[in-house]
Amino acid sequence: MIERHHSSRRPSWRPRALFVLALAALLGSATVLAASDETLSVRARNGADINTMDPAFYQGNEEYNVDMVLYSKLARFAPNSTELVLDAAESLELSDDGTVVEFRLREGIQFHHGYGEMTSEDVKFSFERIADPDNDSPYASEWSALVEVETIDRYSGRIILDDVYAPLLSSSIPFTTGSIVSKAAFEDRGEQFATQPVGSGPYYWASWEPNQRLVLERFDDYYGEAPHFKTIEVLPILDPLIAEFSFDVGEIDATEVSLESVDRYLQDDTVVVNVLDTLRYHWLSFNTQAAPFDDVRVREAVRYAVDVDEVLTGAYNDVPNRANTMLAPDILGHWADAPAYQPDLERARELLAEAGYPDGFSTTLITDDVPVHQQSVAIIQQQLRRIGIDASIRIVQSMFETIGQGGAEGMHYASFSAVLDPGYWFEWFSCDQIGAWNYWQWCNEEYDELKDRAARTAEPEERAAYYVRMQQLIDEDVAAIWTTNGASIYVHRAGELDPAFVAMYAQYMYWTGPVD
Amino acid sequence: MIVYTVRRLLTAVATVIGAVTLLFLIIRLIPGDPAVVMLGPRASPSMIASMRERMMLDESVHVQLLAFLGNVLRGDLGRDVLNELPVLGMVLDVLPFTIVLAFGSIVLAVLIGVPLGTLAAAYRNSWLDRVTAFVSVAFITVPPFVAGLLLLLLFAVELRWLPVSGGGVRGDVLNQARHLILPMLALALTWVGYIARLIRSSVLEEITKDHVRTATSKGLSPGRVLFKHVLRGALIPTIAVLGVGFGNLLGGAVLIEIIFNRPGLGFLIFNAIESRNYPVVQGGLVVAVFLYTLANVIADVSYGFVDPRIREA
Amino acid sequence: MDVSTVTTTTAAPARWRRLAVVRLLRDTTGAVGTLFVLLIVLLAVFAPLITPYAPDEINVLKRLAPPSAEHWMGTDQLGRDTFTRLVYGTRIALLVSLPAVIAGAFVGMLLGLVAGYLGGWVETGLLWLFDVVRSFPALLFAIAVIALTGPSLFMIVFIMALTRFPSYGRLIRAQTLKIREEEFVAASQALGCSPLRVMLRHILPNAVAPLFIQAAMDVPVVITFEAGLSFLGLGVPPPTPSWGSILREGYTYVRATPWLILFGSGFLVVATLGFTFFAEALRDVFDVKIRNEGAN
Repeated sequence: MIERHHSSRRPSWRPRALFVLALAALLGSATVLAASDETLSVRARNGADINTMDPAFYQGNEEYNVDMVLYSKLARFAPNSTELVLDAAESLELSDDGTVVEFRLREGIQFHHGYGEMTSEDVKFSFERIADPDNDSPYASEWSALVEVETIDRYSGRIILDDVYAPLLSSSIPFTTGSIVSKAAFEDRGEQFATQPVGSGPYYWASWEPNQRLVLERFDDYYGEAPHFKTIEVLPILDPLIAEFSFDVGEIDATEVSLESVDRYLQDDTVVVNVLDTLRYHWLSFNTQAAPFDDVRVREAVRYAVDVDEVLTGAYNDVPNRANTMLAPDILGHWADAPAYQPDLERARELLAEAGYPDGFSTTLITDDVPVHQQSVAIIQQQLRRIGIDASIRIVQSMFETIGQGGAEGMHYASFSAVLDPGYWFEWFSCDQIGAWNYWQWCNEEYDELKDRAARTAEPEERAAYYVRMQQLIDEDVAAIWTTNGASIYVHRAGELDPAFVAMYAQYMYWTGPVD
Repeated sequence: MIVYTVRRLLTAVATVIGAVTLLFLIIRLIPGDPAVVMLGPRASPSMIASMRERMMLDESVHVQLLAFLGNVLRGDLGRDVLNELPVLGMVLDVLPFTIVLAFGSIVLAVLIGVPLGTLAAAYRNSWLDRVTAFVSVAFITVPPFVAGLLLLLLFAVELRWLPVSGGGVRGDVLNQARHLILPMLALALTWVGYIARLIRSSVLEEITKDHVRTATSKGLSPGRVLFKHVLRGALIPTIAVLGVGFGNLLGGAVLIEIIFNRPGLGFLIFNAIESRNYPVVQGGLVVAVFLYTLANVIADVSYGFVDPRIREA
Repeated sequence: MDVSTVTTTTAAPARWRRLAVVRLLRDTTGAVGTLFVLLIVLLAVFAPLITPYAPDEINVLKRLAPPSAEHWMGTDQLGRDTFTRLVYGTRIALLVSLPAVIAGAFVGMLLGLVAGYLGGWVETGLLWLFDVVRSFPALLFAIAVIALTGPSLFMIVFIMALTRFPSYGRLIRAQTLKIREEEFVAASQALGCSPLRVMLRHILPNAVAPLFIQAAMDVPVVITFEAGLSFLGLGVPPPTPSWGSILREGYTYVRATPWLILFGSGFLVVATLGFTFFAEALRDVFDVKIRNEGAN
């Protein structure tokens, strides 16, 4: 939401749309990108430095933002929207059976650093490299349906799939797995490509001092419209508070700020606050295969003991909305009628007594090294005490590392990130993830079957129905107590910057400032 | 003197070898395949295979250790798990920041601490002495990271005299100096306290010595006596402490580097721990150990130069 | 600078005056130190009597409240009473520092005794071990280990004991060397006492005073260390109140609640100052020379 907020807050200012719905207004004003000599200084996403710019091995932080301006894709997201627009392709057609995509590249697209013109060979190389199981890319599943990319001539080719893959046009092609690298550069630079990448986007890789500064420069031979800022300087400022201080004193132009600081920035007329809903789910889970939480009545008792609204106030400063189900409101398949459970301590105690725990029990509540999670568990711990459950808190560095393999007993509070396509959200609740990410060890055959069917369904409404049913299954079995989908807050100075985001990713190529 | 220096160097080499061995053992004591430990959660079968080969895990442990030591000696500290950058290069990139910070803090501490201590000794038991004593202890006991926070809030955020974060623009010395001031001050405070107290007590000890009394009785001016005879002797114990201090600061500045988002050895290792990049952690620690030991050798040897008794000990 | 005062004070009357004043000063710092230490210990022991709240008592409706009659030092982001958390924080500070110092001192003492008494290659080997352990940057080492094992009270105590024991080892070794030369030790050896007996009976009692002082000096070092780790979120796990984590929270909410960081550093400084003064007064009383090297 690109909107200026003054002192009044809640609920009027709270924008609710995943994909920044102020798009119309924005397009209506001025999207003419006037090139300037200015430098845009921003904090890296989560303050973490990039690790590698090889699209097959991103770690998921600032890499995504840089990827979007460094590499071209066949199609990309329009500014502040999830609408697809053509990028390197001048045409892109999906066959009627949904298994072949035919594309034709624009002619004359130049790679950075003199690596020549982009051809269909580069597309083939880029996609097949990620798909190739020998390369061990963690993103291979995005191209799991890929048979091959067939080159027709210098500029055209066909992406051939063995089955319908629903997320193809919402995720595989427009997101990082669709980045087109220069085959010549990759072969030339070898393992150095990861830190000296070559793309064909509006900015090229100028310099990188690890943990200090990444500099991207405007690419003069870019085939599209020239972006506004000449230079993008990305600073990995790890501590969010230091980032806020840096923003306050003018060392950086934009940054993500903590949920707690929203109030302060809303009171500042010179600052514009953007609230972006994140693609995440925060939730309380149980080890459903170990006592006492193998009994659904115990899980239900916890559901009636936990006051989600209190957690949101205490830990999240009431900034993000409450979530009653897994999928965020604007994702295909969102279960709009999911019940919003309210605390009912009497019922909770009854359920515990029925399950054979009239006096409660002791258990563990595990969470990871994220402040907002730790505050949430502190609140939940106190809420559970009211029905006699004595939960001691254990902090792990990452949920996966410590409890993934062993199957952690007790309860867990964490958040998982997701993508625009709904399929990915459901990945981790399947039976075959037990022993990997499914540390809550919940297994439901109907769920698994629906998950596979949905992935092969192209028709959106049918697909959505499957996903709603899957969310109901989780709800019926009390496999999860959802709290929120979270929010990210970005700030910038009024009149100095006009940023664009897709989901929670910064689209620097569309960011503009005052024309000089 | 040469014998002493050589002997001290040999102990230092033994220390470094011991520390590197210890590091090697720690990695292997962690449960699980050491290659998987090094690679962290992102380990894929082919990465594990090449890491196993690199760490020579199929060989016996002493062969692995020798190979590891050999690599360290040749300056090969391994490669970043994610992007294959050599760890030594990454360390050398940020090392100047840490050395400048540690060195600057020590120099600043000497510049403030020595006059303060001398003054306290000269006017001992006056109100000045007591204020100095109190200030010194206060400086020693306020943890540097707390001092850093308060300095940052006051001078960078509220008054905006100095920058908040980073190490400054490469090549712009003035800019880098401005970024240095607050972290340097935060680290120096503790040492100002230490040095002031140390100097005070050694000045008081020196002035009772014969050569100082003789100099005074010969009618030398008090200033001359102080600088030529008293301070010269009083500085000797300070040198040893400075060596330890400099060594400690190389690895110990990590909290300050985190708070000021300042590049440096500690911050590099901290970041690598956060992203589970163990080759960088391991390589960074090797360098930290090496520098600490080196700083101590230099301190001991220079101490030996000024105070011959040490050599015989 | 008037150096003449330096020289004239060596005259007898001035010397007498100086001694009196110095002793007074010593007594003041010693008294202040002892008072602070007592205060900290009392707060830790009687925490539940001092404050009506529990340290993990959450009240989200009263979050980030300013100091008031009800909440003397305001509340934190979860509406917990800051004063209560700081008071209970003294328990954590002592629970970490005392066991860590005692364990470190004990191990260091044993190894130092062995090194000093046996000499030879055992001594060389142990001295080498002390040097090796000391050459590790303690905080980074702690961060790396805790990142692997997860934060816990035990881990912090263990790491602190592990990184602190060499300084005790070196201290006791030096003391042992000195005492070993003395006549009564030689005498008991001549009488056929076993090495163990000599060490325990004669050397140890004489080495205890410096050990104790060194330990008292180490307490603030360990407290600060734990605070630093907690500040990074790697200390004692929440919701246990540690001064470091309270400082972290105070820092995070510094714009809304600047008092948090001030009160937090206040408690921390009172504790470190108290133990330092206390240790120094002890040192002066026993007239022992110790170089405090701090933690790296």
